[in-house]
Amino acid sequence: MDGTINGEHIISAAKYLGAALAMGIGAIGPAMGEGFVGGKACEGITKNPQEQGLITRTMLVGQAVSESTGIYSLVVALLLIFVV
Amino acid sequence: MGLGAIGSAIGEGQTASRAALVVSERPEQAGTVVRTMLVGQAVAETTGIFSLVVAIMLMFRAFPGGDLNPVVEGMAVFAAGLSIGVGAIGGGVGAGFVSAAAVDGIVRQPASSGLLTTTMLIGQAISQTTAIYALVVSFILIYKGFGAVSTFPYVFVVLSAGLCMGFGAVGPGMGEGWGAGKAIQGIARNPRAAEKVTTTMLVGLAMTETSSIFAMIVSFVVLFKSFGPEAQSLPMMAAILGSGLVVGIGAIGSGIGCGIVMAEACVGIAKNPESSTPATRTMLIAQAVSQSTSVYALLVALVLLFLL
Repeated sequence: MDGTINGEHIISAAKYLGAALAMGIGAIGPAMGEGFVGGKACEGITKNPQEQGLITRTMLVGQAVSESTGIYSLVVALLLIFVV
Repeated sequence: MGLGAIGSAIGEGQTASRAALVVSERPEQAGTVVRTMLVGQAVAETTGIFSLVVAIMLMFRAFPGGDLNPVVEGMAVFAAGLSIGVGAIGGGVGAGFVSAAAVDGIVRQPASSGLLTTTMLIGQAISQTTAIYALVVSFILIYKGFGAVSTFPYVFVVLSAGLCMGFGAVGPGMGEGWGAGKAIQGIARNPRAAEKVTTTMLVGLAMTETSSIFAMIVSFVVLFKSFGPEAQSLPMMAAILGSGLVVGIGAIGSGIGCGIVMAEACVGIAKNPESSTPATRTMLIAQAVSQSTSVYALLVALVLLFLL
């Protein structure tokens, strides 16, 4: 290390670590939630395969909503890296 | 080692308690059940053994003097311990789910005990691969020999690689174990659907594995990328550490989520084998969506490593 640590360095370091933690921890919830949605959709399709289209469509809507929190994390991470 | 032992102990405990439960219900099948339980536990134990091997190597390794940077080498062995220690939790718990389901299934369908044991071993082997990735990263960390590198940023490089693979192995290992366990439960209820269930199980396991492969790739990139003097600043070191953390932690959710999807798909296909094509297709879509968050994590890691 070249020995020059000033406030700006600390803020940048915190930004990058913060971005990593935001996206890393933020990815846990949506992925598991989408897993529950997808699992139940598969269960439904095996009970009633004719409704595959409808069930898959509904599943995707549900997963998209659950995904939104993951996208928030991504946006916050990218904002922290590039904008702040 | 400690953490790795926790995982395999939970896995084995689960198998044994399930075995004890079913033996008390059907004492006449105790022989088969105990045999399968022991095989299953042996596999769940392997992750603990991986940790033990690494721990012993760490204790008895003679550190060569020469031009190695002692601080970096010290951090590398710490990171190696973290990688296999944390990484073994997933494989151990996952393999436990699988063998518990197999023990349960064999009691219900003693006639298909051979089929169930085979499927159990396949499921356990795949759920174990994540711990093997962690073991590989540990070995690289121990034996790579970082040479006369500067202490900074390389202490963060090795820590980042270890954390990435360690955490990254937990979710997929557990998810695969959960999924394969449910597949075995399905096969036990309807052995005639075994072929279709096994196919879907393998496809689902491959998808679940992806996020731990992301973690392995990022560990390798971090370890083998050469960092110039500009990486010695505090922000760049935070970025290096962050890139490992984000992929490692980000893989937990996707691994478990994909495992839940394939679990339900396999149980359903066992009940209604005719629906295997539409169910597998939807399973793949659902797993891809659940995987997307770990792709975001990978994206953030690559930005942190290459775009700053």
